[in-house]
Amino acid sequence: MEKNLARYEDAARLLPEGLRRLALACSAGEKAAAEEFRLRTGCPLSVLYPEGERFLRGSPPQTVTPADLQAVLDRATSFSVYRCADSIRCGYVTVQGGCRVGLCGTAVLRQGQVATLQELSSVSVRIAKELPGIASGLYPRLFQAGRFAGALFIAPPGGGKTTLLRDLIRYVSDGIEEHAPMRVAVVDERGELAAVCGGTPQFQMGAHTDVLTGVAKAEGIEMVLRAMNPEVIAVDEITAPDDIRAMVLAANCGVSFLATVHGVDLDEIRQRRICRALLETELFHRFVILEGRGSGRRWRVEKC
Amino acid sequence: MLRLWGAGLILAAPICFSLSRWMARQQQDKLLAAYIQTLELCAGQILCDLTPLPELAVLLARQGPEALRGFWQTLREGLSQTDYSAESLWRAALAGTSLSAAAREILAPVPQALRSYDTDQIVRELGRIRMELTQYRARMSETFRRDFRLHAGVQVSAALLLLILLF
Repeated sequence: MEKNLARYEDAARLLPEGLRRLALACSAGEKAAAEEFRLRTGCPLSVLYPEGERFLRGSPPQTVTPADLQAVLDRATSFSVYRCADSIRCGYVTVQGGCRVGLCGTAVLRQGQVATLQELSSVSVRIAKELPGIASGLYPRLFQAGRFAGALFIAPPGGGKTTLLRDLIRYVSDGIEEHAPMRVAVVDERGELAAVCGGTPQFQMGAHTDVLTGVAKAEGIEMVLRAMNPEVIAVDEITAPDDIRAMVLAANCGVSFLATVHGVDLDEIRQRRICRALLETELFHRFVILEGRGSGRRWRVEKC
Repeated sequence: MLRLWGAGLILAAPICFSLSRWMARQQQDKLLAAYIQTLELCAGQILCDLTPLPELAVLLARQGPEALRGFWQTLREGLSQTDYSAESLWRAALAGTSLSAAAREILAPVPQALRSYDTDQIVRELGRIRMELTQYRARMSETFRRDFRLHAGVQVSAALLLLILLF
């Protein structure tokens, strides 16, 4: 709770003064439950809770201006957008403390590729969450004949995949009494899992974890495989055939995987070509399915 | 003896005045040279290391040209407070220096230049500001040299004339 309150306040610090005052005026319970700040030009600041969005109107009512969005971006990039040009091109910026700022605006195309985003129209500030211990019951269930089998996490967006995966990485990396620690390599393409800032992960990732940030998953998997000799590789959100090819290559070297995909359950993801291809590789024999929102979130393990 | 002192003072006054003008000009020139050097350092840091502005301020407050360390220190402290834009902090830091208004005007677009996503564009823009500042410095130097000669000449002549009239 304390840590989540601090993270809420860290996220609120990115907001311009007037909006920040509104955000900080929320109760401790609301702060702990908040998942995102959402700023859209012409609308009041809204906070995303597990049950939905709620506007913070203030008195007199305050609406978000384009200058507010620019101020958030300035703070998120430490007044240096050039440093985050690559991630801005992908629509987000990871901030010290683990928050992620998502951006929407007008895309500037160069040779058919998004060169950058201009004239921001909305910004979301995702508040980093760390819930140490949530994977304690899950970790022992991911072993098969004494060997760590890895797992594929399935949940809809905002379903808590990343938070659970992060805690599981910590368990795998630190080990528990019955299971020895393992070397985990995290390929953190969007900087969301470990949120490395200035070389230091902003979340507890375990004592045997190596984090590679900002590299495409396929390339990153090959890099950590060559460089760090991992026993387990963790990646967030598998979306491309190249990711699967790299995972198969690494699995042939005896590496287990922890990965996430968007979806509701196994049947639903089987309908999608990319996920079907992933399942056909038989890289995963354990599937962690997350259901519900907020405090009603539950996970179950399916074997295959 | 008193006359001699009086004559000495009459001659010394324009010399002292010219000397103080020359020293102020030297200081201004040194400051401009430091800004020109700093802009070059900034461009290099941004192009090679993508150094963000707060880190740049720390670096230059420690290792940059000595004349500007205070300026970067002020900016660094400002940037650590969240409620100001880079532009207003930059303007406030410039206001704390003894730069002329025209030089401040030339340097004012630096934070705007750093807003670009494209490092090549930033370097081009910083290069343009540096060039403008260099030209301004050369112009000021030329103007000062011309004015200095004229003013010093007039003052010394006036002093000599006064000496002749008095003694």
